[in-house]
Amino acid sequence: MSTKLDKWLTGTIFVLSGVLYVYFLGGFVSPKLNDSAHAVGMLNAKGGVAFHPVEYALDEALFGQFSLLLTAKVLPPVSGDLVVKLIGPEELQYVVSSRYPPGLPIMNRLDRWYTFENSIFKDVTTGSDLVIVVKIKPPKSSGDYALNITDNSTGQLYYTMPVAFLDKGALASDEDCHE
Amino acid sequence: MKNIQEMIFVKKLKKLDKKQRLRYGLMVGGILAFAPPVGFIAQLFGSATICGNLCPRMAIGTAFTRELFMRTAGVALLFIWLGITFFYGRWMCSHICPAGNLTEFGSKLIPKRFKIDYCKILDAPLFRYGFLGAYVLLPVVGVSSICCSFCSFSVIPETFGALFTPRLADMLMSGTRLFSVLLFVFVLGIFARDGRGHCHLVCPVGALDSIVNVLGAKLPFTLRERVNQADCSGCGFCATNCPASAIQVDKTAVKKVNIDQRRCYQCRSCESDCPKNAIYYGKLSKQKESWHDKEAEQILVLD
Repeated sequence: MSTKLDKWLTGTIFVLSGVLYVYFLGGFVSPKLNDSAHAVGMLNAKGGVAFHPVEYALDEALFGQFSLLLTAKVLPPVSGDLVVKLIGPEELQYVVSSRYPPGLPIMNRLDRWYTFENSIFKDVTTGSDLVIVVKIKPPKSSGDYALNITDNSTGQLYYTMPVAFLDKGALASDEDCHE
Repeated sequence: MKNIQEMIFVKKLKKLDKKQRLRYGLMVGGILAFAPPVGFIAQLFGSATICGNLCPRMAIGTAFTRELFMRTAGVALLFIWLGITFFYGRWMCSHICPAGNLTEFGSKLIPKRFKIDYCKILDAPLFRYGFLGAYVLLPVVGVSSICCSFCSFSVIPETFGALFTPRLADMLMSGTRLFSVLLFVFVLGIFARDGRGHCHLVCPVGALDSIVNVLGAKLPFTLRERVNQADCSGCGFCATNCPASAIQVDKTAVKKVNIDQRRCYQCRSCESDCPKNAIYYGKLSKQKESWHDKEAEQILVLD
């Protein structure tokens, strides 16, 4: 076999390996880790944009909880105090936390940073990035829920994300709950 | 030869040279600028870490989707990153990027015998280009979980920040995050030879950066790690110690040493390792390819 052919073959093998690695991450690992989901969205005055719904199977919780990471951009004209709630047929136990604001603000952003307290984002400005982590205790039975972000004073809905809890084993082997 | 080896080793232990002091200083600066708990540059753009508004990975991952237009800061950082690489070499990867810097510092705590040299086992650049291709194309078909769910830019600074901020520690407690910590912080991180297994293998920014590095290296006015072949004795210390396995030595060839710009990430340790000072950081025009160049220079001086 010639050296040039060797090089092409080696190159092809490794390029394919890189592609397979991504498949391994996206296709093989994620169905096994269905306790967590990452959702991306945008808040707006029309009820927001949620790119993909989230589904959990009741037997797939890790450490007795499910995790939902929501990264959302705040579009105009949304601003003010926003409250995060998970609503549905049962009253669920859940904890909302936020990656921002940072632990040690040294140089604040170019405009004022919002604050976060008791599941309420205060003084959010247009263009902000919300990074919300929701830790949810599994409900007793399956059902459809929604993660809503609303104006704390008027109740206007700025974002809604369907969150479905399915029966045990309901998620097929090649499905996952990630977006 | 053993004495020279010992001299280099002792010199490194006792005193870091200027280049390495500069590098380590910039690495600490990069961590303070882009990683929690400080992240002073990240905070200017509404992020606590390089993850978020500033993320250059997302700028690549959304290159063919509508989300790209929402990521102005990330796109700008990506262009600055690649621009610096084109003209000056991979300073951003080796000196500034918080993900690589944190695991490189962490790997210095791990004894060498426990570490894996991924660059020797795999043809790292080719693997990385395959990853880049899939990384760019998957969001187009609606699979974007790779961008954020398994991300070294997010997980490594968060893991470090969790030491200072309990909120970040809580965020790591999910199956996906724990898997990512295991992969990027440990397996491809501190247990990699130079702490940069994830950089060499699975960083899309690094993959794009190395392509730009190769393209720029051929031009006469760009600055890169280069070899004065006339001064090189072919001892091979540079190749042995290169953390990216970027240097090939062939004593029998006219061009004894070749630096693979796909792999080289500008750590500049080869400049310190070379006992003949044959490796320099500079322009192509200063490179002396052969003894003819050296003789011509001497004649000019005598005249």
